[in-house]
Amino acid sequence: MRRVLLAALALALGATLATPTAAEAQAWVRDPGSGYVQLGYRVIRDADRFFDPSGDVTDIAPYTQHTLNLYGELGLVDRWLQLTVAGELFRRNVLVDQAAVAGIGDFRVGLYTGLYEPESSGRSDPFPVRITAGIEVGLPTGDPNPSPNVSQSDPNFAQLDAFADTLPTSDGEVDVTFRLLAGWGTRIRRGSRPSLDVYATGGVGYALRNTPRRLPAILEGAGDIRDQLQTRLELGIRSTRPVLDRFWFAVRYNGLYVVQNRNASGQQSFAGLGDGVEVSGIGFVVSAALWKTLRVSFGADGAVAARNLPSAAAYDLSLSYEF
Amino acid sequence: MQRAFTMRAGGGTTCALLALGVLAGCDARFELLDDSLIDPGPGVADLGLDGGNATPDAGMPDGGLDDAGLADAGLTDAGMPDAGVDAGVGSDDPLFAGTFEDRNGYTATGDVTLEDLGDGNVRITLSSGFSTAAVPGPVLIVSDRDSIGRRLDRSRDIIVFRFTRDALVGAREIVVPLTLPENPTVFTYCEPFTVETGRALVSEVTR
Repeated sequence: MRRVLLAALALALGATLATPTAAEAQAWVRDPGSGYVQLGYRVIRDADRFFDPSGDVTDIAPYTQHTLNLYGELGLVDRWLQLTVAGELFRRNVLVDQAAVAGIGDFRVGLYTGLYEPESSGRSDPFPVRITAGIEVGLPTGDPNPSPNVSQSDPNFAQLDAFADTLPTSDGEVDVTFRLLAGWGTRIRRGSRPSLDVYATGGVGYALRNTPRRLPAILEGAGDIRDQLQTRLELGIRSTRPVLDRFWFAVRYNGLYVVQNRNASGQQSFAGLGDGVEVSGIGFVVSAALWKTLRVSFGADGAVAARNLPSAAAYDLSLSYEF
Repeated sequence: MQRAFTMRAGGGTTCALLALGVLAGCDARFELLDDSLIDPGPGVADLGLDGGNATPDAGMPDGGLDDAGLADAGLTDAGMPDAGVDAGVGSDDPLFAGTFEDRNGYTATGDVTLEDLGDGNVRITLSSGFSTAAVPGPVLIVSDRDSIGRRLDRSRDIIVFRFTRDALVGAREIVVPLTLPENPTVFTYCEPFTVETGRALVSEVTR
């Protein structure tokens, strides 16, 4: 069972359209000294529609976003403590045929602890769901206010600065997210037919957002980014038939919702990093084992409803290794 | 065409500090991908509401009417009593007024008037109830069409003002060299993403 759960963990790292990184911690806390590292590339290409602040879709100039993401987990104390680090090593925001901004993005550091593990009761899976709590701190390592790098006396400064403001690589604030995660996995035996491994994982989080530093001038004095509720659910399956057992298939749902003054107009955000961003997204991921615990995964996510977010599918390709 | 700007000085140092675990941000690198996007725009004098202290906007070189490309509609306004809006404003010069309405989920409020000053300039007055959304790159546009859509036609959609944070709310007077089209419309607009954030369908009024 443990092997199934760990294999599921290697896959259960979903993407969202509006979170800084493509991977997130799950309910399985790693053993001390064991870890997981994932390098992923994500692209949102030629998004020419936009979920406006009221949730309606409007046409916009095409927008493309490339990110190179790093995610890592390391078990520190058996069951009780796991360290996570997630961040964008590189982010390039592009207003197609207009302007682009590139640089490092934001990072998140988290600590997770196992609240409940089935094995901890000493009996055989009395309640086969493990529950984990965590806290993550978001660090504004990117640039919330890119500069056009021309003098303010340049006659084109105002226009160029407006384009640069549109393409931040950071939300500009230190935030704290409290998360509660649950995970379940089992092997379904089907007589003489190959068994199926399945898992379900999900969680909720509350993000305490803060006041961004060094905002673009157009947003100065706008105050705190409103707090958000995060939700996610992922269901995965694989066959135990030889060769097929290398592949996991999963579907996932991600939600991000403003919980303070939800209908206030807020600061607005076009790049998915500022205030007022909401999304209800669904997606899928396929993961294949290449060699031992080295895996390659491909996934796609799209928003079925959102606010202040480009309307386009996000595609992920990642390489992960578990040790 | 592509023009790249170099990373800001100190960015490397900042990133090195980041590697040491110090909380600091890394400056990003900006590129303009199409030089033709640079908009000369009309020359603008932002008078503020107290008037008198005309402050030519150094950021907007005078493109003049030729740049604007708006045909002189040659409007004549018969029978408009001179309300004495301003010295030098002829009674035959048209005056338009309208109220902003929301567009694309963004809120815009307040009134706007367009006064042809008769000397090639137009005075644009935003009322005390004016407000528009703090989107990136917000601009004020006078156009001869009632919908801009997703692409600016820079010969018809004239950017007359670039909003600063302080200018997003409240009264303002702007004087700009411009020939008003026959049926002008005023927009607040996000230039980078080409999104209308407010619109005022103005109509000619008596002085």
